[in-house]
Amino acid sequence: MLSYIVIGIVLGSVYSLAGIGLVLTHRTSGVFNFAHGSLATVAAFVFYTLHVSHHLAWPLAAAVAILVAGPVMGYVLELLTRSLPSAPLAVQVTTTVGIVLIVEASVSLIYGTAEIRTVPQFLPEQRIDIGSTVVTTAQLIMVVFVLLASIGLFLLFTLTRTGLAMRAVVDDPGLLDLAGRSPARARRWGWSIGVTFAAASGVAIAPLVPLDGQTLTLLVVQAFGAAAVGSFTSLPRTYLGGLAIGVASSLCTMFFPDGPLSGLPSALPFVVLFLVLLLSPKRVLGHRTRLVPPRAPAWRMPGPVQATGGLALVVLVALAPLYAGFHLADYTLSLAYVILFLALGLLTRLSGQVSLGHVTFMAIGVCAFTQFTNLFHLPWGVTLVLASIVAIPVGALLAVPAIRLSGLYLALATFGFAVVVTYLFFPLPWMFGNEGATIFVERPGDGWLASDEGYFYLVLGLVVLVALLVTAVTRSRLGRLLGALNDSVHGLEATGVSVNIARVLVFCLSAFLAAFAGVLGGAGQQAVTAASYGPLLSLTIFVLVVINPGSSPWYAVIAAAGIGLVPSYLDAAATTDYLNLLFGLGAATFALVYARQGHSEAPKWVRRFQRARPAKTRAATKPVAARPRRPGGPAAATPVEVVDVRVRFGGLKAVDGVSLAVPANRITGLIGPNGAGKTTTFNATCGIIRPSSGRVLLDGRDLGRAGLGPRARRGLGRTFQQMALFESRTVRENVALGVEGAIAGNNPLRHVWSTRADKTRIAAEAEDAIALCDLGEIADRVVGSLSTGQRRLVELARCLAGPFHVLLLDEPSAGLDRVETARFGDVIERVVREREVAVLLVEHDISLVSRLCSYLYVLDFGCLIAEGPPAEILTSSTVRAAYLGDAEVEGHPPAAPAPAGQSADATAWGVS
Amino acid sequence: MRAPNMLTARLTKASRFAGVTVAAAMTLTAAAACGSSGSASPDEIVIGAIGSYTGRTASTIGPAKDGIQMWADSVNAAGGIKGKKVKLFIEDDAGNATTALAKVKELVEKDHVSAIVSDNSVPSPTWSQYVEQKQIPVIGGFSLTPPFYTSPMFFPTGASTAAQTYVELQVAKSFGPKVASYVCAESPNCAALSAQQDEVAHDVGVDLVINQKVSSTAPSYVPQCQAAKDAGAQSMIIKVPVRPVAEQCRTLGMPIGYVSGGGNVTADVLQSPAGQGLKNVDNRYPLYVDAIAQRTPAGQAFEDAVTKFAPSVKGNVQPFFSAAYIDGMLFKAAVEASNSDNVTSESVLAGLYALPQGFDLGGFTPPLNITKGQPTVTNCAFLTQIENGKWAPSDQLKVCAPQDLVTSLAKQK
Repeated sequence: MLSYIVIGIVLGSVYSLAGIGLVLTHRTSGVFNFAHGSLATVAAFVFYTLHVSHHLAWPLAAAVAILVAGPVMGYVLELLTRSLPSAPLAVQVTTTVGIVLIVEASVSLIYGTAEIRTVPQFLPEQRIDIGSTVVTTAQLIMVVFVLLASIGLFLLFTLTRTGLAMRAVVDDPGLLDLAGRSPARARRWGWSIGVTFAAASGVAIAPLVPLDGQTLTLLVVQAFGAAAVGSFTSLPRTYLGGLAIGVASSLCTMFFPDGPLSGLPSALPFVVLFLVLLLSPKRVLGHRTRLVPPRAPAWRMPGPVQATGGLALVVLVALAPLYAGFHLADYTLSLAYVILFLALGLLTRLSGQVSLGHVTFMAIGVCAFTQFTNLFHLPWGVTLVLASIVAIPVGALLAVPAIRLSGLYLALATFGFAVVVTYLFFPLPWMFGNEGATIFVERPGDGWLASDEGYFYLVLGLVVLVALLVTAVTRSRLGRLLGALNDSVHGLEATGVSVNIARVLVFCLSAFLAAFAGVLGGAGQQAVTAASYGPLLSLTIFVLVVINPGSSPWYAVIAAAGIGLVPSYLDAAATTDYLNLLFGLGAATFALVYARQGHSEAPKWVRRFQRARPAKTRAATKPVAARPRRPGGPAAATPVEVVDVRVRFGGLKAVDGVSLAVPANRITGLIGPNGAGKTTTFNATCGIIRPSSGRVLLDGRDLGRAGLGPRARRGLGRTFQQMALFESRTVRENVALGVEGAIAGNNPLRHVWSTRADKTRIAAEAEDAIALCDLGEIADRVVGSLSTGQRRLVELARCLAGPFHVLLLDEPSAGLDRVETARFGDVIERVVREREVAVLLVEHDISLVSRLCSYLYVLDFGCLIAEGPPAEILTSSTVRAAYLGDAEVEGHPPAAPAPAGQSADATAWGVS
Repeated sequence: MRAPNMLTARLTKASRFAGVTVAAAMTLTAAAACGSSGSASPDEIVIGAIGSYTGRTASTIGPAKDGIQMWADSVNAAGGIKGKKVKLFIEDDAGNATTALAKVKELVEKDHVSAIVSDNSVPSPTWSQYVEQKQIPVIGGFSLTPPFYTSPMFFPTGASTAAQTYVELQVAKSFGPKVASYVCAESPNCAALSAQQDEVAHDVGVDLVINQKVSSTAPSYVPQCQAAKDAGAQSMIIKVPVRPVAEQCRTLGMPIGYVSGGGNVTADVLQSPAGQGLKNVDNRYPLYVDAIAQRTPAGQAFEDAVTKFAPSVKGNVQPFFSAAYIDGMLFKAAVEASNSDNVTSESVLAGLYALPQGFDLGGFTPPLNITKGQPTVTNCAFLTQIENGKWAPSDQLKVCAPQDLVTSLAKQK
């Protein structure tokens, strides 16, 4: 066994080398670089060209490949990805996957594929006997190099100011700027070091593998597991994770010499990736995904134009049998791809989730269809539906555990899933036959529908139906919830929606449609091989879904034509390479355009067209009385009690033993200087943060580990200091979602099904809240285009629209002018008076606090330092000292207490 | 009422625009689809070749394209077949199943080929049904793809997968009964070979001490080498990149037999010290080995053709290049065996059926037992080995498996 451990360390060092590079770039740029292996490929080819083709001495060639090509690529990458940390995940993934496509296609076009290129081992290869095994000096040098590099990088990050800056730029570039360090410089350093490390990996690994455009990329993909062990942030743990995978893989070679698990050594890196993502506690990985709202769509083509265009397109495609000739099968396959793209679009474009394994669902669908056909001999349509249904539990099995992490980790889990299925399941007889080579997929019957033409029309009809279904879903309650999920997860959770139910529902629907597409495409081809469903194809599919313009179903049609029809008509041998290059460049351009564009305006003709349409008018809203609403019976006299709550972030005590009570029918204030722990207390109260100890009681019941959504469903509503609005939606839609989210709750059926009574209730209650906050004038404007003050009121209106009897308002007056603040105060007072709700208000505006609150709690350094009526608290020297510092307080005697119900002298507090 | 009128006008305009667009697109597409047509003249024999000449398999399959072209050039230079010139259409599917089906349809429906000669299309299973429906014979090619032993419309010039597996194990057994086998994990049809090896091992009489699927892009194969060493393997069948495995195992001090085959031995293995002595089981006749080609007049004719029509590959003939030439030879034999002067798919099929049972093209193919409506399952493979950086003849050129065994294995597919 010792020999396998020694060998495993050698193997694991390669995984560690690649994994550390991945983590390094992720930590310093905030971007998970799928192209890490591709950058290593570029360096390896530079080395090959100089050393092998031009016979340059290896140290010189290596120096150029690592020290020149590395930083140059790093600089280019920094420019390309500068805006990505603040871009949605889909854009991040698309950009780096685009680079993978560019490098793969470029290498193929420049170097060709006819010749196997190899780099001779340039390091000495003396044998060293260790136990019963042998290692070479080259392998030993690699092990030592990786170990030293890991230590060096760890020290760089922890001990140097540059390292600290490189870490800080990901967390908060603005703060780094304030500290006098240039974020751009720190970012550039991060990318340069990261890519130089990738280049070093490329040169070091080049002698171990055949050199082409894919191999190093795939090898680095195997290092994802090591990076996952390191939570994608820790260099030492990534290093150890790589070694552990190497050793485990080596031991598996010994333990499973044959049988079903004999494929485990090659699949192990992905199994580890998959399991780490599935089983890691959320706190380890969950907070790493930045929740960034996508930009509001700039404009949409008018509906009648879309309808006309759609009809014309269907007619054009329906005439294909007249002009397509032998290309007709490609039209059929392209139609099936339209469904696949629509399925992935539901997931990615509508709900903002990323799946990098959707082609695998196609394979599952087509294999299940073949099995069902052979076993049950059911009607073709029934078999089609049953086979597609098989993908649902598989999708749920993948999604339920992984989806809690969402973001990047869901993307990686889906990719790991695709590779594991390819390696371990595709070769099994019940997938692609006895030789894993071919399965024959039946068409319906043996009449006209089974002919190329008849089947084409059948698929065309099904595509139209699916397009209508997807459009209907997009416009349904589920569609609205998913769109809101894409805009703001916390915003949606705060309405009471179980976002995980919404996520799983759409994931299952998407998997179903992907499998459906798989069967239709397979029957179009009539025979399929496993090679048609390789995991890398999922990356291309994903890129196409993201970069193609237009709304549903247009982007799907364009993407399907690009991947299905163009290669059919283009005869060049290198068509695939040119297409991949085109897709890759498209992805890179997309990132650049995304970085630069603002809210682009619709073309002139579209605006004229829109003006020509009679505007939809709604009855003018008039102020209405706030209706008392309270879920689950009458509230307790003190609905919210926070008891001895403590919150720790590592070694830092953010909140230390805070207790407070929020009674009904009054406004309770929570104040304190910046960094006092107010928002953390707030977040612990509403369930965003789990306290390390203490309890939060709602109506006398301990809320335990319940999160934001469950607490909202029990009547706890909140607004956010960093507003969590659905940016791409109108004011009315935002406010309506406050009602609709509460109706959907955690009931899967209610996520999908909406009754007429629901619609009436949603419209009425949304109008109430809009009128209450006086937002009628701007009710049809997109939230993303409003001023801060208006946006604050929209968030308040959304909160008021929900059935909450406790409102937690986090700095609601931030960004409001005096008039807006006064109006806000009026609204809150009225709500408390008429709805009997309890309000906890975190606020810096002491005038507002003094006006609204009947009781105040004061925090400083996470501790409660005072509580009592405002008049008492605002004149307390302890509180003043906390705000102004002891010296200031000594020099300025306290202002005279303000009369009850009036503002204290805010200027004396240095705040307003 | 102005707004609705404007709207109607604009919608009409939009519809008109859409209509014009549809018409224009239809015209363009129809023009593209109806381009040149390959209608044959009576003095021509129209055939097609298809292969995964580019993409991941380019380094191995790529030369087949030049091989079949050279055969056509040499046949035409010699006056053609039955006095008719061969018109060859070559299509590249780049290993893509979708492209492959479209290309085959193009050959059949646009170029009107009488046969597909030299099918080196890796995804050929995806279009085999199509050629069966169209009754277009597929003559020669990469015989390890399933249609060559499952479809009655495919006529191999090389070994079936079962025969290849049997012979590989047989060759491995020559080093001793304990055999380790490593097949590639990424490709399901490659990975599935391990199951067939398990089935055949007992018939051959070898102890398959290791039978694992390994990644073709693994950074190290030392664990596999160590496992083989510990299991006492006397030989190793390699279905992943041969050079790194052989080099790393030799470094570990394993003077065992290395056996490969099925077209995965690439040029870099020849130059590697670790590749020397490697036994290669070739599914097709190794006409690319000079010493073998020079044994027969037909082989010498091949070398003459290389000198005259493909001088750039002289001295560096690749396995798929020479195999494609043999594919052409079988087609020629079928046409000559046919009674018809007009060369059509029917006449080519008739010619193939007319070939005697056990026909082996002068030893260039395994014995072919062609029966109408039945797949032709071959049972022999060919041996070569690497010596001094070059391919060399092995002691035994052809090794055969029991016909019953390979036939029964083929029927399981």
